[in-house]
Amino acid sequence: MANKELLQGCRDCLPLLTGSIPFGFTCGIMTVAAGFTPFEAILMSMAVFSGAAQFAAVLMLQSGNDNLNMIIASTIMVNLHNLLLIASLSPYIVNLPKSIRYVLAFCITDATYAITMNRISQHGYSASYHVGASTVMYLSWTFATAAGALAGSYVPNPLSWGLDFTLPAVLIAIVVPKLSDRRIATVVAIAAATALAAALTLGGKWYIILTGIVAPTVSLVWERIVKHEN
Amino acid sequence: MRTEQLTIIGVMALAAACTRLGPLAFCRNTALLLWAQKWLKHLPASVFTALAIPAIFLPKAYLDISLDNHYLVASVVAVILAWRYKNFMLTVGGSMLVMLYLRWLTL
Repeated sequence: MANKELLQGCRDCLPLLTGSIPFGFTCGIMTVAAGFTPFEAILMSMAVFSGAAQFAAVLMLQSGNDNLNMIIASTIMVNLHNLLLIASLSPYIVNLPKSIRYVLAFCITDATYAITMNRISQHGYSASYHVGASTVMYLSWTFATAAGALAGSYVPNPLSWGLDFTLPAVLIAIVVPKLSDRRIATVVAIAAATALAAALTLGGKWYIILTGIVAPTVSLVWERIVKHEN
Repeated sequence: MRTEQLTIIGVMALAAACTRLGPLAFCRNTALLLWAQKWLKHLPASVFTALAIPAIFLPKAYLDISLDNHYLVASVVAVILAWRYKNFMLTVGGSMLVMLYLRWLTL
């Protein structure tokens, strides 16, 4: 049963790879272009495992900004929304063995979170499924970066084909069928308005954090008001 | 391996790990309050929307509501497929094909 769940987690991640592999490949090319050796680029992907943070650091280094404090600050800022993702998953992973809990938390990505939460809403939580999804995302990122770092200069930029659209497509495939539930439709409407306004006015990934705090809170208050009136 | 590069990788790894492993320190075996459970229930839909909306409407960091925005056009197709057929692979595959076709047209 556990193996079946593990394989299902791996399988469900496959559509997402069309987005993460070109992204990792491009990251590998850019990391080498910023002065890292291919081995260092691969090590960065394995140890940091955060595409946005790696891109931000590499862009800073390419523009001549090698201030460590700035690199630390940008890494924390682009990863800050992970606090919300882990908080959301914590009721499910809190009883797992410590080592697995920490590995799963380290391997959290937006894609793994989306796939795992979708699975929870349909069949409940499965640690094997979560491990399968995390493993595929981690390995694909590492190998894609390695391929980019080693062979990138011979291949045209894969992101020019819009393959980074995979994640929005996956999120739409998960969220839209649930919009017939008025409670979820309310949350999504508030989140959409907040995310758009925040993305237009704030820098970095603050829009994720702000939306993650504002939308559930307003929805909860809204639910209480409606319940009270009825 | 050079010290400067190793230092950069090391501090980045540490910073990223703090945001991922930090919350676990506060989420021990204590049961969450009821309101916190309800709040967290609303979180996935909020985060999914927050991740998708800017990627669709601001692919070049400014608001682009036009047919030139391929992400928006492909998203409209994805929404229609998801709503009509409620099929994960059809939604992702169909909208990705639209995106690739639009990119191919502009090459």
